[in-house]
Amino acid sequence: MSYKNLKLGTKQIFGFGFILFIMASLNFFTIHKMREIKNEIDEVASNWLPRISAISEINLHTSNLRIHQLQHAIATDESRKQEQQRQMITLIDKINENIDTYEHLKTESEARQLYSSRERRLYKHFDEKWEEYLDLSFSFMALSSEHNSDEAIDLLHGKAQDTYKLLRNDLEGMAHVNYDESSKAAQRAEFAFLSTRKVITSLFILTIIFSAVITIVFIRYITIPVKELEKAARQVTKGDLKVRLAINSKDEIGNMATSFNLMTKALNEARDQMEDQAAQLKKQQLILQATNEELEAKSHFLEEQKEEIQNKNTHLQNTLNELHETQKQLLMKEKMAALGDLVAGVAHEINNPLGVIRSSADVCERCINTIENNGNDQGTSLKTVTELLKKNIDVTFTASERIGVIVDSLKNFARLDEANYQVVDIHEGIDSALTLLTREMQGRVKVEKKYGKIPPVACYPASLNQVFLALSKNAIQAMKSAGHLTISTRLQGQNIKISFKDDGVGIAPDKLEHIFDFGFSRRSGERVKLGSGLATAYNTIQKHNGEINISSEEGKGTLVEIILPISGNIQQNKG
Amino acid sequence: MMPRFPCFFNDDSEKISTFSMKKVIYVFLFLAYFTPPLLSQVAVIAHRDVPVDQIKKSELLDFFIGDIKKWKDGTAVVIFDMKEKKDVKITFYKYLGKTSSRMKSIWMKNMLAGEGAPPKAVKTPRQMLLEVASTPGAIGFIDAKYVDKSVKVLKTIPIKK
Repeated sequence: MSYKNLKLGTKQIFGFGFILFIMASLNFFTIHKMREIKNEIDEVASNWLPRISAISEINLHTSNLRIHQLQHAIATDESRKQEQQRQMITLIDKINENIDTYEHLKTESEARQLYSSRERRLYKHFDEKWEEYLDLSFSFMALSSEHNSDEAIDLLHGKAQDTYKLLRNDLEGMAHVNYDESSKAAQRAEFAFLSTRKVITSLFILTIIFSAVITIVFIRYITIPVKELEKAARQVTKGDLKVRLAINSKDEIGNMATSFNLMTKALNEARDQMEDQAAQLKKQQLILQATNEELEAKSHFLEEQKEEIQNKNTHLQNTLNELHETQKQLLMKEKMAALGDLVAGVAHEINNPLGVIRSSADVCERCINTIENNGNDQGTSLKTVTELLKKNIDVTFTASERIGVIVDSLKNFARLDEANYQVVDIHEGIDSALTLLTREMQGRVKVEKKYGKIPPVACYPASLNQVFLALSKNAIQAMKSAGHLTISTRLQGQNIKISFKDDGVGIAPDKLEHIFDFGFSRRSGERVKLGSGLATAYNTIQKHNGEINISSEEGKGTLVEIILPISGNIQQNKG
Repeated sequence: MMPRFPCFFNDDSEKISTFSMKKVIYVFLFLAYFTPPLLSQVAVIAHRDVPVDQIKKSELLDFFIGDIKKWKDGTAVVIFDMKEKKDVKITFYKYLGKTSSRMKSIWMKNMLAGEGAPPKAVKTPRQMLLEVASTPGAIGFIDAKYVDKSVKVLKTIPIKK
């Protein structure tokens, strides 16, 4: 990681930290050196100089001692001798004192290992010579006290002087050594001072240089980029968004420059985009104007068309009315056809008992002829003829009753003799419908009636009977060969439910949704016929506020369910 | 008895900076040379008739610097010094806390003050023995190995190098 990529704070810490480090080391070094110098000075002041002083004192006092000894020798007066002796005692005390001082300093110096071997040698020699001098002094004093002045003086100037000279040499040598040592210490102190000064000076210069370098670095990495940034910002203010900064350091300034570049880029893009959009808007405005004109033209055209459509609409309405008329006619035709079918069925039904009645009438006629020709050759008894007649009358009754039933059914079915709206038994209606369909069933369809206990229902019986007839007929027609038609009724709350279930061919699912349409017929492919049965049934049940549902499965059969309210509530105005 | 190691190391003539086996051997040879074969002692001897059997260091110093001049029984104290400055003499005066030159300067002062002549210095241990044995109230010092029954031993001081 280079210095360039550091954060500003870190850069400053590095710079000032380094300067601080230099200053701190400078301080440490100076203190250390000053302590050294102080030690040297202390040593000189507290040891070397007192030692030199002690040695000088010893030197001085020994020389004084010799002077007093000489005066003692030449003194004749006892009192003067005494005076000299006192002086000598004082001097010896002083010498001893200085020797004590010296020895004390010597011990200290030895403890610090600053006592030179040369001085030790010299001091030892001095001690010996001093003792020797004292020994000689004993002899001298003995001679001097006994007034042997000449001998005494001879001793003093002879042997004692030699010893004294050696002693003095030692003292001077010691002083010299001490002087040398203290000079050396002073030199050392001076050297330490000089070297310290040199180091301090060089470190000071280094600090100045480094501070200058740091300042330059700060200017290079902070001040210059900031100025560039400022200049660029001013350019942006003037509207020049193309300006970009070439600062790629990774500190705060670098980040700021990057952000600035991104900002100007974004601004530039935004401005371009806005210009583009303005141009586009202008274009769109033109297009809109053109479109507007076009629309006005179109609107004019539409108005024309509207008129045309209104005309067409009127025409269509007319056509529709015509169609309704046609449909009514068709319905009438269909009704007539159904009536035709019904009439044909009823005629057939009546024809059979009628044939029976005819044949029975024929038999009766022949029987009467037989009676008229009583006693003819055939040998037939009257009794037999009478029986035959009775039998025939019975047959005729039965046949005529049968005809009566059919006529009743027809009457019941059509309710020709009753009011339009009344409370009737639903079962009667179903039964009469089934009676009218006897011919169509031709014995192949087996009807199963599952009548529940239901109350009479308020309704239009004629219309309902037509529904039952249509549903039964459809079921019978759906069964190609033999089959079952199950008709069941039951009470369901305030309603009754009537269901017609057959096991015929069924209706395909795609056709099931068109089952109640007018004109639908599942018998397509057979004779062309408009199937109005179910459509009519649907209308009738709707009129009765009921429901009609049909469900079927192709190949398995169809189930039609009618739900009728018991209390009627007929929609009088419908259909 | 034996010089301590730091002193030895700090001696200017024989400076040992690294502690090797060879140098250790040299050190022992050096010590063996300076150490006396037996532990010798200095005996403080007195005339057989002195009234004490033991003496304290302070009393001894008082006798030798001339502050006390008589024994308890009134006999004058006679001091004997050794002439040659050898181990025995050095040890004895060191024990008293003085150097021989300082002792002499004290005796010099005494002499100048008219308090008598300095003590007689004998040359040999045998002479010391004879002098002490023959002088009443005498006191001196001698290497313990020379002591015989002619004198009384008041104290013994071990010799230190």
